[in-house]
Amino acid sequence: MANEERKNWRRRLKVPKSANKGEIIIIKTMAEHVMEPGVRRDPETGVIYPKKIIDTVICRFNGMQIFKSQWYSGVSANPFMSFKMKAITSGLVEVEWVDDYGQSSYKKAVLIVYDSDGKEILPIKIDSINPSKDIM
Amino acid sequence: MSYVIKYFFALILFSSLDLAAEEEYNYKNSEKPYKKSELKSGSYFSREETRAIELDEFENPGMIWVERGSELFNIQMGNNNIACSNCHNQNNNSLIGAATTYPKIYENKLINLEQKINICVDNNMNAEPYLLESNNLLSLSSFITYISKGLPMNVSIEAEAQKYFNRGKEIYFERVGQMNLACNQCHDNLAGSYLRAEKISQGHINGFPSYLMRWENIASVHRRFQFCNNQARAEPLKIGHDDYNALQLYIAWRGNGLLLESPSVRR
Amino acid sequence: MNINNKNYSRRKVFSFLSGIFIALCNKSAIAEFKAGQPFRDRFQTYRQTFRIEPDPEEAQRIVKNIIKGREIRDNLINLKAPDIAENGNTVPISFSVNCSMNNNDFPKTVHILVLDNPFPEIAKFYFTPFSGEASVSIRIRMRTSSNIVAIAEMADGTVGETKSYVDVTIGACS
Repeated sequence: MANEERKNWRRRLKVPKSANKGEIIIIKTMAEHVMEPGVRRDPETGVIYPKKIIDTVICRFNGMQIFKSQWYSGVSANPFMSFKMKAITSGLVEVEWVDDYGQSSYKKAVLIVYDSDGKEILPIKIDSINPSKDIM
Repeated sequence: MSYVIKYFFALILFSSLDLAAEEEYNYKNSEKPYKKSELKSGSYFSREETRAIELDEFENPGMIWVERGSELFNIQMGNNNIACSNCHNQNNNSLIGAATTYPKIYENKLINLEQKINICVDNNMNAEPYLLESNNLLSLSSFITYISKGLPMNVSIEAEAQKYFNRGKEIYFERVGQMNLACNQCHDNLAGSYLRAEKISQGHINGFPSYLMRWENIASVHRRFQFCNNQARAEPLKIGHDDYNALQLYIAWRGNGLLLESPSVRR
Repeated sequence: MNINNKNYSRRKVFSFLSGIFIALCNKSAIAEFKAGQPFRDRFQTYRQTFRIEPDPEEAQRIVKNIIKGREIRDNLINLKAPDIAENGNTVPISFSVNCSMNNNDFPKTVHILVLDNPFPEIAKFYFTPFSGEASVSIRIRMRTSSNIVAIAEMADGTVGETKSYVDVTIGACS
């Protein structure tokens, strides 16, 4: 109906501001998208509305991919997804939504991770961390 | 012999027709179908998962429109280059509590919140008014209703609103459509029972503009009335019609005292 | 025999027919036909849609394609879905995989399928050990009352599967 009027399709991301080392945090994401499945028809003309969905959602932490999800037309409109992450160092959490036409949009948030002493853990080279060894 | 048989057939046929007179539901103005303690908002009749989605402010999809509305509230538009927040801010003309009084009378005509926004935009800001039921207008209206969240509904039916209230009451009790249904038959008498697959609610509008899952979009009260008319196989009126405004006034008065819940999540 | 003035000897006929017989008996060809046609199953990636009516046999073939004959572990996934969905457009489901997420004990891929949808594949999730816990909640569309299937492929090659039945009274277009 008035879908063409919307200029900025919103994306929302919720990451807790701080966490303790080893804690598992919940990241919540929501996107505003029609998620047209390509099956519905216009009631007057009978023409099929073309398929337009969000294809891929990637979550990166300090540039490294920790979670990827691939969606098909069965996900509901204005999709909400929440997943979990282990807090090891502080850093930047970034979630990217990629359309099936190739358009992508993203949202960022900063996470601060504290030691058991209360000191902040700074981000060092992520490749040298083994998540199963460093945290019992 | 055949005359007797025909007579009996006619008797059986006529007795099965619904020729009973309309049951009298003419309340006086002060009488309502539900006492204040019996008022239940629509979220009481929805399932647990839907209520959980509505209560969480992040998971509620209607908050997307509220956020957009809060941005539109601060954008400068029109020839005078002013924004809504220039006149309406916390110090003067605060809009908190404004949404509880709509629909109300403005210049001898009954209008609802969306039409009032358009009047303000047209007269005070000299900008082009929004299209009714467009996403930008719904965002603004749901933002203005959101800042009155938790306040009780408080429409007045005094003075000039009286004749619109009477018209609204007339429409509420009038049977419409191929199915010959009136609003009161389900929403006054049968709230809580099932109509096909959906639970009938008491029909209050304290949660509007609400996110409806069947359209996956925020909808205004008038669009919901159109859907009700369609379901009874009646001709729907246009959005912004005077009759729908009168009906909205009656239904809002009927739910006076319920706390505003917008943006709610309904089916 | 003479067909169109050409002489077909017994040898030629026999070798022709035995060639067809061997081709039919080819195990890999039969296996592929039975297991499904994965290329045709992936309609989802194309712009046009052909398959609009739900096909339960196709859904079973897709499930078999994913499992590929491996043994199914018990109690691997907890799938939480409502008993009765209010509206088929928004059915909130969530799952979590019981594993330690260390070494090779994490799910590489988790598939979510709805068996009676016209396009049974709903979503795929790829996890890493950094995920902490393999648990996701999402909202899906369902057209009719059907089973939701969650299949987890672990990094060490094992597979887990769970089903949950959801009643849908008002369906969605999906």
